Amino acid sequence: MPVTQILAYSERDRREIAGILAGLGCESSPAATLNNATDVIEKVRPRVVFIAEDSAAPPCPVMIKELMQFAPLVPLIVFLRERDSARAVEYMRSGAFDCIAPPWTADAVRPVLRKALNISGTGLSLARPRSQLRKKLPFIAVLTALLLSGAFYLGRFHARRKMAVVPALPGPYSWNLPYSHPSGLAWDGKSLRVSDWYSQSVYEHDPVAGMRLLSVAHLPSAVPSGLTFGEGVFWMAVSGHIEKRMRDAKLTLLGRTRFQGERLSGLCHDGLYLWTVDAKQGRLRRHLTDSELTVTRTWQSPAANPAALACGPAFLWLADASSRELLTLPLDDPETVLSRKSLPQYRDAGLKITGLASDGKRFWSSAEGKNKGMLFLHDFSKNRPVHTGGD
Amino acid sequence: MTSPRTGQFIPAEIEFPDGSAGWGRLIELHPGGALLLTRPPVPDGGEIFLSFELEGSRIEKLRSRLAKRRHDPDGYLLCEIFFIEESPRSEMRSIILDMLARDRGTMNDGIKF
Repeated sequence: MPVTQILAYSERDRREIAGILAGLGCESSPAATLNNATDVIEKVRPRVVFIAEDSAAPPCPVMIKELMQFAPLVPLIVFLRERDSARAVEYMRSGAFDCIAPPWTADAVRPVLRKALNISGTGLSLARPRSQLRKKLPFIAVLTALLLSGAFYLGRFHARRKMAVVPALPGPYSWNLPYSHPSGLAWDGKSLRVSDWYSQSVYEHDPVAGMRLLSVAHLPSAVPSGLTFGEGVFWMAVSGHIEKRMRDAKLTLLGRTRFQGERLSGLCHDGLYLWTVDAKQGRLRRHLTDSELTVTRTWQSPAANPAALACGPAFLWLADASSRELLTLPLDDPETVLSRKSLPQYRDAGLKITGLASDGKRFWSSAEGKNKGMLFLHDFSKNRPVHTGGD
Repeated sequence: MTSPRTGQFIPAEIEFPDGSAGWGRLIELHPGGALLLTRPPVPDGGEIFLSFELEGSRIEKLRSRLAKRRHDPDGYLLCEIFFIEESPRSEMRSIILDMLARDRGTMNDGIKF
């Protein structure tokens, strides 16, 4: 009898799905939360995991990603609340095997379960199966040969096009800020936001127009010490807490959660999770963006003195104030350092890095020291030396 | 020679002529058509609109004709489809050629020029 696991935050869903699976001849092990599910998955060793979409649960892509960490080869099937093909495809792109639309019935589940169970082993037969494709094989072989024979010339053409000279980034690469105590930096897709702890404000700058100041949001009840942007909102470090703020003129407060560590020195959002680095404990933490900012995993920080953090969909970038380097770390194993790049701007001991942001290609850092605040643009992709200029 | 493969079977949204929607995966893909794995029901009518991503490029509502379909042993439907519109076919041809050209070191095994 195949063993399956059910992850459903609602008891009613757990009972309903367990009933369907029992009718299909499966044993099921229910889990009420994501943490339960990841705790038991290695003991239960299910052949298939079923996830019920639920507004009370973390987003499905997060649950899928978490479960895949523990059981990467186990098919994950999502029970949808509504028949929504765009959501189904989004979950499949995140790693779900397939999705089941309502009504949740044995007939709807049966083919998915069979296919999921069937992919777990090599098929055996006495005769070579004839597939639909085999009838078209001569046509496809000719087409493939034609495509590949053209590939060499087209490949050469495309490679040459990509090697064409890329226009140089316009200088300057550093700016003196009109405020002296930048504490955090965030790229919101269009502009750079810099928090300043002394003026208790967040400044918006246009990186295309010479860092022209676009707006200022004053926060009379907050002393911001870190900033990042993700899921359409700002995440701000304030006095041992992390605040979630709207992207409006006032940066309206949406929620506030106590930070679980001791000294939050950097935070960033990778598109799914919020990451924090604790300079006192030397820990990198990955959080769900729920109201408790639940920690899903913790790693040792490979930076001796982690001062700022930025991330993208595949990497974390961690600034080490001791070695004055920018470390590139993979998201799934951030204790491994993939590369180190020097930050010569910070050789001056009086200048300390306080924020880091990236748009995927360029990096900016904010610096505080000597009664001035500065912003730097780093262009590592072209190994371009960074020139310091005026503002 | 083994044909080049993407990292996963590409998920695709399907829009049927009666306005209903579904999803499936592309088992095979070439500029002229694809082999689509989906689940019933697939309404009759012959034409469907397919949307999927290929190498970061979004192919939106590609008008396609359902040529053949058969049930597989698990109860899924394997559908052979042909793309009707020319300009998305050209775009896909270009993307597939780029992918083949990038991977040509491994993909050229067995091919003699």
